[in-house]
Amino acid sequence: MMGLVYLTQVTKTYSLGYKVDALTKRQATLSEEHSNLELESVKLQSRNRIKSSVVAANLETVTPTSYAQ
Amino acid sequence: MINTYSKYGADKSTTRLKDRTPIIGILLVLAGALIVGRLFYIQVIKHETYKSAAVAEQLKKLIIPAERGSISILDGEKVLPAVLNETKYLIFADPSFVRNPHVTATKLQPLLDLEVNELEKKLSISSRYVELKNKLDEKTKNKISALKLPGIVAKKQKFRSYPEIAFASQVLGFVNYDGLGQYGVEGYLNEELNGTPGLLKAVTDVRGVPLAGNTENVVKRPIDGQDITLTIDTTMQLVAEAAIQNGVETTRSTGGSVVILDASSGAVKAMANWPSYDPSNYDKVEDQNLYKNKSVTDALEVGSIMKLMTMSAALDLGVISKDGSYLDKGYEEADGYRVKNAISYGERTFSIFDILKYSLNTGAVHVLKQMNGGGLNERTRILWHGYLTEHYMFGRQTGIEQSGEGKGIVPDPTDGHGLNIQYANTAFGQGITVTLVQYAAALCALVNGGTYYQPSLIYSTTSPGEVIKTNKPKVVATNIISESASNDIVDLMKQYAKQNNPETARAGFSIGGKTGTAQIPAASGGYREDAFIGTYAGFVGGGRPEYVVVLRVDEPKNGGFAGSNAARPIFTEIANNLMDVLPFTRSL
Repeated sequence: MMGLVYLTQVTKTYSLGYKVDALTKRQATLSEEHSNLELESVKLQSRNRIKSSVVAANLETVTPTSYAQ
Repeated sequence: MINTYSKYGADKSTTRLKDRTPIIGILLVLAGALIVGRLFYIQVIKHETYKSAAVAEQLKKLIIPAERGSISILDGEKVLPAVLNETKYLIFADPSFVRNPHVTATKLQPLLDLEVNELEKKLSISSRYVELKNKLDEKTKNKISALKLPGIVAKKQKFRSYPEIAFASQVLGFVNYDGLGQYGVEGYLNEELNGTPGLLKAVTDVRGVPLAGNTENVVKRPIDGQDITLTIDTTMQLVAEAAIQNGVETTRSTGGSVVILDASSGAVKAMANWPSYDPSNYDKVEDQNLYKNKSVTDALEVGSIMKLMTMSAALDLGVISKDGSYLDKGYEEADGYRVKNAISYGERTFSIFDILKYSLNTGAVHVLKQMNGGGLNERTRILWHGYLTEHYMFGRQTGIEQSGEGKGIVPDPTDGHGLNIQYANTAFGQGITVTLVQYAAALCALVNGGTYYQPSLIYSTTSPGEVIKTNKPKVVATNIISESASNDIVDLMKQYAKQNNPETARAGFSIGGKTGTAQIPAASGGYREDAFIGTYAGFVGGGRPEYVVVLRVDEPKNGGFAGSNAARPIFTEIANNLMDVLPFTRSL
């Protein structure tokens, strides 16, 4: 009887181990996706990208301001 | 008879069997004892040996990499990411599994952007591992995986990504293919950024999945690297980068560097070098000198901007007065040599301010001599050496968080030949070398009332799971010059800028400066006649000097004095742009 209980518990532990492994992998994937999206967002907002955008290309350069001494 | 014979025969056989039984029994017992003994030996005596051998076979050791910390910079009140991690993929082949190299190469060609012939050649060689292409994005990797080509494998690679490309690249540094930070902050703070990898030791199934029930499993979680925010201000860095690039290109110089420090904390607000490079593609850089943050690594003879240091020491000692004057013979003598000025003015009376205005080498030597009652001897040298090394902290690393920091050279005041002429030269920036950041840190103290702060790039650090730790300014020394001497040198620098940089004059702002034209030592001894380095040391602020700006521009080819014609316009551009964009509190 005790042996049966032991075997049941061991089997259950191993099957839970697989679930833990799957969840850990899922967590790692999501974390990586999050990092990639964060990076993508930063890249999209980078000055180099904005500077070379079509909108920026159509902007005019500001004339230097003169100041009263 | 027959029966008798048979009986006799059976009896004989039984007797022999009876005779053998004890022997067999003994043999069986011996065999049993041998087996038991062997089992005892294996299971009890050699228990640990076999157990560890079994565990070694079943346990798998996996290193869990730690996530390298990010690097950010300040943008006003906000924080902008400057360096993040990016996952890319390496595609490699095991040619022994590739069934048809030509077909595989044809399918891979549009995705890898390589020639079919080249790919086919790689896929046909007798090796178990051939790299086809690295740094591929996830979309391309997924397309390749979807082809399900035998022998073609994708492997994750972690790279650093620099979204702003070459922005502050020499300050940031890069991470090489071995994951080691090189140059800049990446190099200096490699350990802090890298974190500590974790470890998983576990009994696994055939697919490598750890079996949870095993008591031998060991899990050590990785400790991710620290996230670091730099004191660099986006706007000021942009202003500095644009000005130094423009200055270098306009004057056809070989390069240039600029440092902007917060005068009241030593925080680095900008550090720019031109030419620059893209740290994401560091391996494509041909000249490795581009990796260096020259403001920190390269010491130079700064030329006449050193006169600010000489005059500050003399003002601090009270041996000259800001409004005083002196008789200049047109030369100064030391060790049989004559120190002269770049432009000869003959014998005449100059004011102390004129020493800066006309950049008089003779005036700087005169001031140096006043430190010891008008004489240039060992006592003068030791006194001046004390200011250079103990007040201005020259000749030692500042401790700024950058790899490869230079120390510069301050000549020994008591050991060597021709020490008086050597020390006379140091008064106007020759025969002594300092880095821009050393000079800028000392200048901060000169204009802030005398407090020397360690120049620093770290605004805050955040370890995983902890609160943000803000870096406090580190005071290295106080009263390196008196407050009145500090006020005097600020006034003199303001006066200089008013007369020599009228383009920066604006009501309510504090602008001060001094140019320098430094000679470049020749490989054969002496100095080069064909090239100079232009330098400028100045400050910008509202009612008081708030930011110190120190810059160099190497070998300009636009004629005239390098300090006035190449370095000064760069300072003018920086000062004007900073006054345009920063919320200074003007003193009206």
